[in-house]
Amino acid sequence: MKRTTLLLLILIVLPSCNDSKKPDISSIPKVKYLTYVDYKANAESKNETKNTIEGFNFSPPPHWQNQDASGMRLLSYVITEKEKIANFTLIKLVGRSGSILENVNRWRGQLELKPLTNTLLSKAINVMPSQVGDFQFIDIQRIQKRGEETDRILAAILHKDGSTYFFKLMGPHNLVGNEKANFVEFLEKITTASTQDKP
Amino acid sequence: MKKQIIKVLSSLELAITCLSVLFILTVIGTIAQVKLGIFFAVERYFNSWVITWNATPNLALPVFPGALTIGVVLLINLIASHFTRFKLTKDKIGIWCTHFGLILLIIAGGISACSRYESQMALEEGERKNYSENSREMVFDIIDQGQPNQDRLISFPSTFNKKGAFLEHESLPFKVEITDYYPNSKLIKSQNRRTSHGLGEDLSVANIPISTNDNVPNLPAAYITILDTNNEILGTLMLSAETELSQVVPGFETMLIALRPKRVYFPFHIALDDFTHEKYPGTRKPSYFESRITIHNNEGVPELEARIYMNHPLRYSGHTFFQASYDKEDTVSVLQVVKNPSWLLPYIACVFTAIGLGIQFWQGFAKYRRKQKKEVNPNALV
Repeated sequence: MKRTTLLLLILIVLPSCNDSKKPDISSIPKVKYLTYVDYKANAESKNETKNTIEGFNFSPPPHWQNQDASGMRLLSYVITEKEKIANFTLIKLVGRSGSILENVNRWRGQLELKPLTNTLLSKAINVMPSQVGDFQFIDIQRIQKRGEETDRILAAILHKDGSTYFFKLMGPHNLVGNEKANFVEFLEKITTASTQDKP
Repeated sequence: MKKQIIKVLSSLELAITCLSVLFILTVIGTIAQVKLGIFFAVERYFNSWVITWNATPNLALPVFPGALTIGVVLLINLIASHFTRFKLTKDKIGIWCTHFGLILLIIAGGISACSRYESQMALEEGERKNYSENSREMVFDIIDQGQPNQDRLISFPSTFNKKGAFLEHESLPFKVEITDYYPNSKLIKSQNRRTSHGLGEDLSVANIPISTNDNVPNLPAAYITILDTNNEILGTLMLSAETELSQVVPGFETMLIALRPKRVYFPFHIALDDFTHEKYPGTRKPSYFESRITIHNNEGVPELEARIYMNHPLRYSGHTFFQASYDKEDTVSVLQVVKNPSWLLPYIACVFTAIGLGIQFWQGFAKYRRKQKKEVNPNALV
C-alpha cells in the first residue's frame, strides 16, 4: 500500500518534467513572413528618411546607424567598432526635468561614480553655443585601471521652448573617446527647420 | 537499516531542516533578484535541483540544494511520517485530510514548475493573432510553405541552441548545422561577409553580455550551414532575433528558417478592439489598464467578447490571459498568457487542508466540551 502510493506519486510528477530533444511539428495557418527582400527594402527606406524631428535638422556622421526610436526617444543611433557598441540617444522631456546637477549625477551613477557638488559641476560642465541654443556639455569618465573596460558618457542638455533635450552618447571608453569630435560636430550642425531654409 | 532510513525520512528534524533551508533559499533568491532580475533568479534558485558556483569557467560546484530538491525531500518526509505515525481512524481523519492537502499542494507545485508555460501576446489595436510568444525561449523554426492550405512548422526546442548542434528531421530534405551561436547579440556594420545567402551582406554579429534585466530581452543570433542529405553544403546563413526575419533555405524556395521567440499557437484568434491606459493625474504611473478583445474561431466568426484588466484575467480554452503591459504610446497591449494544467490543484489542496483543519479543530473542541461536561455534572448533583 505504502510502496504503491509512493510509486504513483513519482509517476504523476516525473512525466510532467519534459526536457524535450525532439522538434515539435504542427500545422499553422498561412501568413506572410518578413523575408530578406522585405528587410532590405525597409532598411534602404529607413536610411533615406530625413533626420528631421521636432523642427530640428540633424546630420549624423555616416557610420552612425539609425535605430528605431521608441518611447521617449526622439533619435537613436548605434556606433560600432569591431565588437564594441556605443549608443546615442536623444530624449525630450517637457519642462526643466530636474536640475543639471541631478541629471549629471544620475549619469555618474550609471558609471558607478560618486555624485558631484554644485562647485565641482561648474568646473566639469562647458557651455557650447550653437545655432539652436546653448548646450550644457559634459564628458563623464572613470580613470581606467590597467586592463579594465569601463564606459564613458558624453552628454549635452538643451533647454528650448519649455522643453529639455538630452543628447547622450554612452559606450566603451575608447570608442566614445574616438567619437567625441563627431559628437561635438553633430551638436554644432543641428539646425532648426526654419534656419536651414534661410538662404 | 531499512527501519533506520524510514526513521530519518519520517523525522520531524528533517522537516524542520527542509523548512529552514527553504527559508534561507527564499531570502537568498529574493536578494538575488536585485542583480539577476526575477526570471534568472527564479530559474537559478527555485526551478533548479541544485545551486552551483562557477569555481572556474568550466567547473561548476554544487553549493546548495535548489527548491526542487527541497520540495521532493519535504514531500517524501511528509508521506513517510504520515504512514509511519498515523493510522486511518475516525479520530485521525482531520490529520489525514490536512496532510493529504499539503502533499497535494507540494505535488501541484512540482507539476506546475515542470509543465506551466508562460508567453506574451503583443496586440496592436485592430490586430488579430492566433499565437503568443515567449521571448525568454528562442528557438529555431523551419516553416514549410509547400502545402496549399496550411504551413507546416517544425520547431526545434532551445536545447538545440548551441554551437555544433544539428537540426534534422526525417521529413526535412536537408539538415542544418549551427556553426556559431550567440545567446545575446547586436548586428553591426561589417564588410566581412560570412554568409552565402540573405542577411549578412554588410552586417555581422557582435556578441554582447547576457541581459538579466527583466525588461531587456536577449536577442540571440547564429551562423548556420545548410547541408543536403549527402552532407554537401548548400549555403550559409545568418539568423538574428533582432531582425525578426525568416530566411529562405538555399535550394528550397518554399522553406523558411528563423531564430525567433517560441510561439504557442491557439485554435482561435484574439483581436484587440480597444486598449485603455489611464495614469494618475500629473504622473506617468499607470492607474488602470484594460483590453477589450474579441475571440474569433478559425473561420473568423466572433465567439466571445471580453474585457481583460488588472486582476481580471480571461480563462479560455485552457489558457489564462492577464493584462501585463503596454507599448508604442498606448496603442499596443501586452497580454501574459499562462498555460498551467495543474492550476486547479492548489485550490483543491487548500480545500482539503481547510476541511482537515476544521475537522481536527471540531474534534478537539468536542472532546474538550465532553470533558468539561463530565467535570461540571458531579457538582450539579450536589
